[in-house]
Amino acid sequence: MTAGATEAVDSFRDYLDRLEERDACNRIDERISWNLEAGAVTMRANERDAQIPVFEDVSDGTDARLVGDPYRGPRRQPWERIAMALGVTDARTTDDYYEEIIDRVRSPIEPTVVDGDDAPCKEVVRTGGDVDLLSFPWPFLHVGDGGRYSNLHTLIADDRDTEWTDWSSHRAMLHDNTRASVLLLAGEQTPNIYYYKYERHDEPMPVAITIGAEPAVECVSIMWIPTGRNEAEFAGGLKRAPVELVECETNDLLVPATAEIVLEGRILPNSRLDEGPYGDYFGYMHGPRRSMPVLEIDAVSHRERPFIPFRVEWSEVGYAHNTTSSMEVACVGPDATLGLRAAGFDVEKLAPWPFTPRTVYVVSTETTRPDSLHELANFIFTTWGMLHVDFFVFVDADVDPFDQRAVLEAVSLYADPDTDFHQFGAESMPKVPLNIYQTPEEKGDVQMGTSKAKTAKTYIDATRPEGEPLRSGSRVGDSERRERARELLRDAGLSDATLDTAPVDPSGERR
Amino acid sequence: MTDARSFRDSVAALDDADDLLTVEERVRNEDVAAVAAEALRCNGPAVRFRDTDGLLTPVSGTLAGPEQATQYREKPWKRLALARGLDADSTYGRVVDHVAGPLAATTDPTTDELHADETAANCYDLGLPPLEPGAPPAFTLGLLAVDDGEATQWLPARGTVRGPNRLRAVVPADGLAPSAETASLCLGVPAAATTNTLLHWLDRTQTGSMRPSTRSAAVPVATRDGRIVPATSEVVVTGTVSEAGSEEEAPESESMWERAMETAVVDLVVDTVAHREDPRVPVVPLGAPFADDIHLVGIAEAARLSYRVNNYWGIEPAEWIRLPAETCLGMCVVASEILYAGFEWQLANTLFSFSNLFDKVLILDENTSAADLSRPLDDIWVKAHPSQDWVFSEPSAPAATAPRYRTDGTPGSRLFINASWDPRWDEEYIAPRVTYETSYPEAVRQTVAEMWDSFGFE
Repeated sequence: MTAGATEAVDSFRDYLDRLEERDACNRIDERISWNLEAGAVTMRANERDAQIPVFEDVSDGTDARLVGDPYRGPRRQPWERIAMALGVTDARTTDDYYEEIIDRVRSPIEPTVVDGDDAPCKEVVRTGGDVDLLSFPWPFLHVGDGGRYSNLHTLIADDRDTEWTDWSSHRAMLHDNTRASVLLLAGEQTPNIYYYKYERHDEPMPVAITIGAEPAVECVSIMWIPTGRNEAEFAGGLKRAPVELVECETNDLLVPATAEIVLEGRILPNSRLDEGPYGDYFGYMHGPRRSMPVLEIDAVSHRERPFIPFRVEWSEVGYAHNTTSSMEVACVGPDATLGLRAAGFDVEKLAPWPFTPRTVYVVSTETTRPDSLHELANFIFTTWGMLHVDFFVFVDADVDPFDQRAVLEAVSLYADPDTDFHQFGAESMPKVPLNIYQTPEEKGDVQMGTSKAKTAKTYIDATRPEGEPLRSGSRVGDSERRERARELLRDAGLSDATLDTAPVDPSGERR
Repeated sequence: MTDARSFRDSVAALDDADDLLTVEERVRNEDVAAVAAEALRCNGPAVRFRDTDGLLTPVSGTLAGPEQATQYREKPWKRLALARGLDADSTYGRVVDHVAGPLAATTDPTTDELHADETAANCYDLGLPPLEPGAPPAFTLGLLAVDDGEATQWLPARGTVRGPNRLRAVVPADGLAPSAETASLCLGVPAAATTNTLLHWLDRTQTGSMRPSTRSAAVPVATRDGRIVPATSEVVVTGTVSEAGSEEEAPESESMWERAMETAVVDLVVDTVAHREDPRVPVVPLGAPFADDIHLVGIAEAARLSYRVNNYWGIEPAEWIRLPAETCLGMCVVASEILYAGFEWQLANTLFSFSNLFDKVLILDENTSAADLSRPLDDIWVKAHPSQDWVFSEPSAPAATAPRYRTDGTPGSRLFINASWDPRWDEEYIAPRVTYETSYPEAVRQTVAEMWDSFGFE
């Protein structure tokens, strides 16, 4: 089925078709190798803000295809392609988009379950000895990586003790025909289920990894959905239609029926394989190689000529975007904003820092009393921001947290080293080893993926003193006068493309 | 000399470089600053206003530059490079070295005739645009030449027109000797005259040094009523210095250099107005992000600090120093070799000693590019350990002047962030930077380069 332009797409390949309709993807017929070439082309496309590359002919005699950073959005509006995928057509500003996504997440829709015969993901099914992971062209992305990765997928696992199923995103490094190591960092939901429930009972954790699931599923898998809630319902809410699920061949898990590939298997207890190093999102090749739990594959099902989407990590560090940074803006931002509001905090908007995904976030808020900010920071650091995030920057509600100039100005001019930098010096908090400021000894090779040494978490109060207006240069100002100025510049020959780069106020006014 | 470009030559160079937009349409003077600010907001070109009220041709953004938070191709120092006669694609280091020239060596200016001719025009006839509708006409990038009894001093000046024969100017507080009776306000001066003057006053007010000189071989000079002025000045307004009236002493919008020093307000009772034919005068929309004054002071201060730091320990550890316009000069970013454990502390506190503008210093590894602002905006969060590398001083340091807190001078803490590798770390601890070049072997890169066109990207 193909969704109309104003409806969400139902599959990854429908999404590619929609990209193609809008001239936003480039189907490349030349033969490309999975061995660094696909990653290199994708990186170049990310840097140049070019179309999304779809590699129709990948070497190794496979009929599977690769798609590089399919959710990367344009630099000015990183959420644009995900909005397109979800059928969000009337968002003019980031604020519009946020409010639409928040509204949708607030309105979950139950999934439907279809028979295997009706599930595109079961066009080809291989089990037991027929499983051959390496028959797929998993990309080798950076020359220093520890191996080939599947890094843009949804990992589905049941809680051992309840009916809850968690969808999450954890990269997997392929080892042989049936095994991969999965990056599970304790502190996150699925890793906690594995380490503290299944493994403690010496039981394997049944899982399914869906590759190329429909966009709404991918979005939900990186959102922080509260424990016990049905993630498929939130995906339904996001796309304003039920997600179709189908039962796995070798376990009871339900997976998105239109996924391109489904890997069914078990994450084994007390069994580890090397994972990493990997050119991760910090812009550095952080080591060392570590031991991570082993995924044993029992079955593979897939669509004919399946697409394997992947992301080139680190390419979002700097001025380019990739899937990671675009999904941070498109999914994590509105989801976290909603989460904080639901917890009773007066939050205008939460924005990922564009140069460093998942390490620092900017939060704009009307309530800037020190105790309120402390409570807000405490809540975030102890819930979803616990392991990855080191910093939060708080700015006033009239500062757009997506406007890096305005945020830098706020930090430089309003964050007093004397009073506005909080929790520095107290190394009492956990940290994932995916960082470069700890030594290998500090990271250790602990079995659950958190560093041996603790770290500090910090929030920076870059709000202005009460009653102090926004600086004149940052004020929206007289919009009529500004519009007249823009008209004069336009008439004199300045292009609309240049004029449109002026920052836009959250209200839609140009800042 | 390569940096002897007059203001009108630098405008022509911007035109040649396709970085100047000419507005032929009639523009009310009260709208000029808004148009100038809007061009800055969209990283647009400099703007020349052909048809406004008055004798002048206002030109905005001549020494401004784009932000680097969303783009890196256009460099913020490009227009200053052009104005100084350098190539448009000059490196940051080249431009900073050029600006710092008078610190390194004293050179004598050549003497020329004053290009401006005396006219019957008064101050209103000039048609200086106001910064806001209803505000008095303003000059923003001026240079006041005054005699201190022994020689002519050049002072940075900005201010407003207060009558047909009266100007009010803001200047450095100790710039006017009690004996100063007459002065000449020069507008449309060479960029080198402006940076020399800023360099002198920044250094003088923060180190007490009388070097560098405001004059150098880069700026030909002429004599006007016994005072030395830039020979190519577009406008020279000469008059008698008097105390400012009590009402509205200082025009509201300040220029960035005023954050670095005490200022005084003086009036100039005008005797003569001289100008060149079809005079061009720079207009700076003071207070707008990325306006010329922010870039100029940032680069002049960086030039001063680079010179001081690299002439202090017998070696030159600092690769570059920047005060990004994005931070409104409240943060100093330095890329330096870390000579030994603890050098980062020494470096940060040396910078604090030499400048009172900022109280935050970010230290990067020496191989970091000055042209890529995204790198410090990544490294500050991921490379500096949140507790060990964010180092706060005792709360007894003098208040910085660029930030908007502790403006009453209450002492407080300073902060330096060390985002460089610890020299004590073993090589194996150092995480390699991931780049396109390090991720893909030469053969792969070559294949991609050769095939790129055939891939069909639009």
